[in-house]
Amino acid sequence: MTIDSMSLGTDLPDADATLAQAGVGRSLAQDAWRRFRRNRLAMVGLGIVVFLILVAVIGPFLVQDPTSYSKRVFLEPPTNQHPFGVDRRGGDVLANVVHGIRLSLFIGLLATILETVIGVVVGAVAGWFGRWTDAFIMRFVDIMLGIPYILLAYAFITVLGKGVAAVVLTLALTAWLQTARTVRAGFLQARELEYVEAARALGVPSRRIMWRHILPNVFQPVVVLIAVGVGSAILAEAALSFLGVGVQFPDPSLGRMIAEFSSDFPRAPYLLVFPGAAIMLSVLGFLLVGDGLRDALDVKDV
Amino acid sequence: MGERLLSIEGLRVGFDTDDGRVQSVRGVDLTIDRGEVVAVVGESGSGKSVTALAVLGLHPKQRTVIEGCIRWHDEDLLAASEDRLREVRGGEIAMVFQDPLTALNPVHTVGRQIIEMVRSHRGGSKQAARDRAIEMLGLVGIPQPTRRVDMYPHEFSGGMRQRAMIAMALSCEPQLVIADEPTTALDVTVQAQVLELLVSSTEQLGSAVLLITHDLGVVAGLADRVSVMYAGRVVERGTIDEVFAAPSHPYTQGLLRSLPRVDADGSDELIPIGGQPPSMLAPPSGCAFHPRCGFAAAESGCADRLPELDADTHGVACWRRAEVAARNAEVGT
Repeated sequence: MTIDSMSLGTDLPDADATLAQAGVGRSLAQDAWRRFRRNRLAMVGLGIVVFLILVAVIGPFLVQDPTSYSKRVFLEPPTNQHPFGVDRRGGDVLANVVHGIRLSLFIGLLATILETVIGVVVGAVAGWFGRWTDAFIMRFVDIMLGIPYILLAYAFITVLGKGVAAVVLTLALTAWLQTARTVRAGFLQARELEYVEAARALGVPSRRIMWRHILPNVFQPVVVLIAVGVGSAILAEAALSFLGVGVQFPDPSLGRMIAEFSSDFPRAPYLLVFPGAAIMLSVLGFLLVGDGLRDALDVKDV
Repeated sequence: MGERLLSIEGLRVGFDTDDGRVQSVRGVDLTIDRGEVVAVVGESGSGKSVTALAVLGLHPKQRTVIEGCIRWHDEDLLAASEDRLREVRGGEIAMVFQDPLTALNPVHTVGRQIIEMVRSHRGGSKQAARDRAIEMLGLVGIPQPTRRVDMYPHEFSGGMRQRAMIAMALSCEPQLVIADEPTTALDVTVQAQVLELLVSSTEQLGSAVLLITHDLGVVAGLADRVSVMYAGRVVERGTIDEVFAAPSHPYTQGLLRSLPRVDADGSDELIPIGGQPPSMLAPPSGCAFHPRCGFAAAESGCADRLPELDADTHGVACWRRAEVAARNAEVGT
């Protein structure tokens, strides 16, 4: 009613109040944040993520050196001095878990950033140029996606060697496929949108159209993919390290700890709880945040 | 009449599809002079929008075949480079789209979109472009333009959105504005206002308007000249008075009879045009309207020969023009 009378050109006296009430001028990000905040699970996820980041940043200053080993105690259950217990080398499990979380987050974030850059660029190129460029790139992506993930990762890491850098590269090189597909789909969709056509009809240069009108169109699914991607990267890193091809001793890794502790399971079952919980918490946190973002940003096709 | 801005001669536009070539536009002539309001009327698929998009070179290069001549001042737009076309689009010829909800980008504020367009053509500072945006929003009658400029399209009503779209199109003072069904997506109550606004604001800036519509009613009070299109060809053209006072093509007559009139006494029945619009994949032979035409006759060759417009002023493309006129005189329409 109010809107109708405004469009008739009559300036209402209480127009200011009406506009303020309608939440006018609120940006997409503000809207999304409001929706995100109302989502309890998403906020739990955000809490977990913030907690993990604090652990990764501050934690190392509070715990012992993970590479100093006790000469006296091995495979000891949690005590006041060693709240998470002691492993078979005499290392403090708490210190290892904290440093493991730090390394996991570092690897997860770095791999995801790399993966997103590759995926967005490749997807944008395929979606923008179309035709045979698109056909060539997307068939390649399809073939890669057809290979079981762990096999693909194994192949990469065999070539790249072991260690942190190799793990980051392997994760990035195997994870960009989904991002590229999503970005390309978004580009194809956006190219047909009327406002892209309108921008063209009003003489906006193509490069600007690509950055300002098409890229924002894929921004939301990419944000969701980043959040989910960090979670999956952490899980994949743990898997690779568990299999012995990922992060190598003495670098602290949750996956490697689980592999080690599972052979000590009969004698010290309690040890497995902590690195396991840390992995579960990390993955859960990022997945919940991703899910919350998906709902808050109203992304349908990721 | 002022200086000639645009002249389209023998324009043919075809699209190659898997089922063969769809010849959407089959020889259209159209001229627009400075400051003029020219309407193109026709039903869906008559080729009116395709013609407009061809002027701006907006059809995808692949699979589109464009023949004929589109002359803008003394320049052949069909031969123009993409860079030159970009200057023309928005800078010299601007377009207002049918549905402002989809033609405005929802992730940017209305102001940012106008600023972007102004700066694409004129450069200059952001602040200057922003001032221009506010000025234009004011010009099209949007209240509180200084606040509205920072709002998103979804915060505007339909009519306001189309006003913003018009403000955007006019922001670089184009010499010609092409409005493609500018009011179809709007409420009936605001249609008339938006159209009036379009015409009055272009008048203020001295821009010509090419108004594309399927609604003969909306052009009556606004346009100087009108061309009626059917199946990719102009079947009747003339000044608004000529066409409304003496519609001389059976199709134009059909359009007028199917239009509710406010000034009639209510006894007039609305008479729809029978039949279906033709498929442009295989248009009827001869005059494309003959399968639906009450005047079609074998001896006139309606089904065999393609009629051309018979005059420069009030031209009609019909083999039976004399008979149609005779009937008109009889009935007294």
